[in-house]
Amino acid sequence: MEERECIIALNTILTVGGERFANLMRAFGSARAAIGAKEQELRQVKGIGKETARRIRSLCDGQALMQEIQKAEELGVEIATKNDPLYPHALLNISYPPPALYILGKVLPSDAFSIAIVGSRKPSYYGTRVARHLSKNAVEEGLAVVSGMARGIDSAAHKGALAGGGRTVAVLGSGIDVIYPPENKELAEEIRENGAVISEFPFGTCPFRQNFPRRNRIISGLALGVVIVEAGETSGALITADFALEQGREVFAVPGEIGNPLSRGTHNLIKQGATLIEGIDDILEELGIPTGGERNLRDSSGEMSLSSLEKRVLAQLGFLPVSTDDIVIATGHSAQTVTLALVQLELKGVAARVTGGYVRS
Amino acid sequence: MEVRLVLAKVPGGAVLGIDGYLVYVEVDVSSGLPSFEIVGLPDTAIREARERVRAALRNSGYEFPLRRITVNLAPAMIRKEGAGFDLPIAIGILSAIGEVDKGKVADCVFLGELSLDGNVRGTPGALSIALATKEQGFCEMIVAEANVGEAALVDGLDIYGVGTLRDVVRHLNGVERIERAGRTNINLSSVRAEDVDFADVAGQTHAKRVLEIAAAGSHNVLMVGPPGSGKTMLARRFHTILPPLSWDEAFEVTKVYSALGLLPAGNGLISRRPFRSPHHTISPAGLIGGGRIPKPGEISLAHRGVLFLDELPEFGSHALEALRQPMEDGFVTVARVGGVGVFPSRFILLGAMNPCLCFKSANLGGSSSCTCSPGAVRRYLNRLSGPLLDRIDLHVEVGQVEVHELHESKDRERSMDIQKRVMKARDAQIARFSGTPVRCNAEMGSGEIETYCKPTKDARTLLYSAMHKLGLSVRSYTRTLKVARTIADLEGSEGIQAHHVAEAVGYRMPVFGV
Repeated sequence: MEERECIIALNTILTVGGERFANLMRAFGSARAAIGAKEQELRQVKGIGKETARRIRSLCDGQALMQEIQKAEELGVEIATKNDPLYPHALLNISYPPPALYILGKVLPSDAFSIAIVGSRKPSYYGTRVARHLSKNAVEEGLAVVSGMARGIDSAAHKGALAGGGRTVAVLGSGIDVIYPPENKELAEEIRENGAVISEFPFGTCPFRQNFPRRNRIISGLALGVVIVEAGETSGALITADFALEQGREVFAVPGEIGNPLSRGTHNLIKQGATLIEGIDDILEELGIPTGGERNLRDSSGEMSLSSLEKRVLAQLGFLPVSTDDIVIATGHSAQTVTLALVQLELKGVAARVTGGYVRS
Repeated sequence: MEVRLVLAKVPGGAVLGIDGYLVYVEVDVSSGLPSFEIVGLPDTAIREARERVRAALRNSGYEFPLRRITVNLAPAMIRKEGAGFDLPIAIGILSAIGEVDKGKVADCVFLGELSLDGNVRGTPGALSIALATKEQGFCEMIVAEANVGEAALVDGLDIYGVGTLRDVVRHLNGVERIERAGRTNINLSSVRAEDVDFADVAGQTHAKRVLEIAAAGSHNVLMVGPPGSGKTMLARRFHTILPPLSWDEAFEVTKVYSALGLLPAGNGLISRRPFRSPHHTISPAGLIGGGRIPKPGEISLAHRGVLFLDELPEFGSHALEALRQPMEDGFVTVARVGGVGVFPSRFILLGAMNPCLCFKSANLGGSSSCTCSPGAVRRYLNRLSGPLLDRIDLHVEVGQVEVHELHESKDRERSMDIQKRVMKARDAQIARFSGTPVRCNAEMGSGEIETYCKPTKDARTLLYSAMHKLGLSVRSYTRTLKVARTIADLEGSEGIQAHHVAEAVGYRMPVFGV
């Protein structure tokens, strides 16, 4: 087995991540030597226990490697080790980069100019909208968008980038052949066409809890900066922010409503010094990229001709759904009149019907 | 030794499904070993009539003949059910032994169950049998007092209500005539559901408006909202804003209830629109109708009224799918071993459901407090099939009512006032559709929509723009037009204006699961 193949083989052991791999390299000099080493010797290395050592020993026959390479050919997956040209350079700068990456699609060198957009898996309508909007603006500026393809903000970020006709990279917390959540299968296919789906985990790895922090360090590692859109107090997106700081990436936070639990995480970040952003321009400025003019999320209703009834009804709408009944009570108009006004606002594109009522759009 | 052969023939009746038919009870009393046989495919209840008749005759002071008695129920090949043959069998025996004049017996239909002491009890289906009686050219019918109200609904039939077997014999022999029952007559337009009213419901102006439109055009409605938001409360009051039953409608409804023996004691006519709310564990047969000899199900009990299905996605998929055809046709045909039943099923469907499974979400599709996985929510919503949703014209989200709204003292509209508007809109529809089988906007087919739903230019533009911008499907296009027609009718407007269409668009089906 060549050195490259040995790295891929070592990477198939889930417990050998960036750190233990680095330890093995320090002890034996090469992956090949590590696989050839005796169990006793392996046990000497920091972090390698009995079970892991036994597994490394069992790699000798090359069967695990063969299966992995065969599967990669079947699915059209590229496996890039740290020494390969396909391996994203940005990752080499982080501490303990993953020994090998599975790539569906292509990571271009230009994708180094990217921002990561992450956040809650159960966002509000506002969060989803901001993520999409920011992502779309980012790709329009020539940036790629990196995210984790989870439900909520992550998916919205990918969709925004695709809608803007730009490039986007999804980093998975499972094997590259295990798309999670399942409803994102189509999205994954689209991302593959317009960027890449990548994973450091061997084929068939389930989306275990403990995989996600490892995945998050790649998300932040790939990007110039990380934007947190909505995050609860214990959200995984905050782990990504921690990695970003560690890796010397910028951290941006989108403010939310006071009192909304989904704002707690982002507001805490702002208190700790993260950059508060209102639009893509704030990000570009912080990254030192020239800006192309005003593109913040704005209230577009001012420029539209709205009847006084429509204005009164619109005044009741925010980013959280408001029910027709609440508007009836607040404005004193009949349910019939309010429904009429809401549909007209919807057709003019300033309101949207969502579950639970209507919001501004 | 002289052998005396005696034969009596007494008309009786039975119900198949909800339709009555006449059965001739032939009684033969001949010499031989004492026995009592009933033939002609009787069910267990009829077979047991032997014991009831024997005891009732003896306890009424008549002698039970100790001879060979054979009772035949003609036509012999139809399987018969029920205890309504007790009275004709008893009369047949009495007439065979000469206690009653045979000539008197042949012109009158008898119906009633006997108790052991000789009292006559009511039986199900008296109305249907009375109709059959009239059809067959009879003009007299003797029924239990409990059945007089419904039987007397039939025009041109003399009904006599009797309390005991002795009364019947005395009446037939002319010893003591029973007075003919007066025809049941109720002023249906004055009937009100006094116990519940729309004014009881606080807030929910949005849902109330939707229900008003539903009542005016007979549209089906789906209400989505968290538990405790008042969906059931609204549904239970829905029939109070529907127009009162017409005489013919009341008759149709009463026929179903009579056949199942569900008529309330009293005047015998169902005078209010029915409200049926079956539990979601109901079987398809319970909902649609079924049984060895077919019996009407909940949809027929809701005929001309409201069928409320709470927790709609929890109903079995077979039961929900079975709803489609009866909803379309207004009747259902149930074929079983014991016969074929055709039951009416023209009702307004009110569906209610939670937004998700965990009940924590106030909104459809889940919010941050909802603990359902998106997959679970999708599976829950997918239980409602597209074809069923296609038959639901109005969708409304029913939100939680704030506590302060519960105590607001603002005058809430009473059912009676809403009903007046609904009736006006219905009158407009009856006038419009006169000469066609359609009676209300919800029943319009594509042809009628073409003819009667002509939106103005503005309205058409708005509709196209809604299709384009809001992703309205072609199916929801026709639904929207139907609802817009009803909204225009409520306003008394001949044409469909832009604001009618816009409001109708507001009641379209939401995109589920987003």
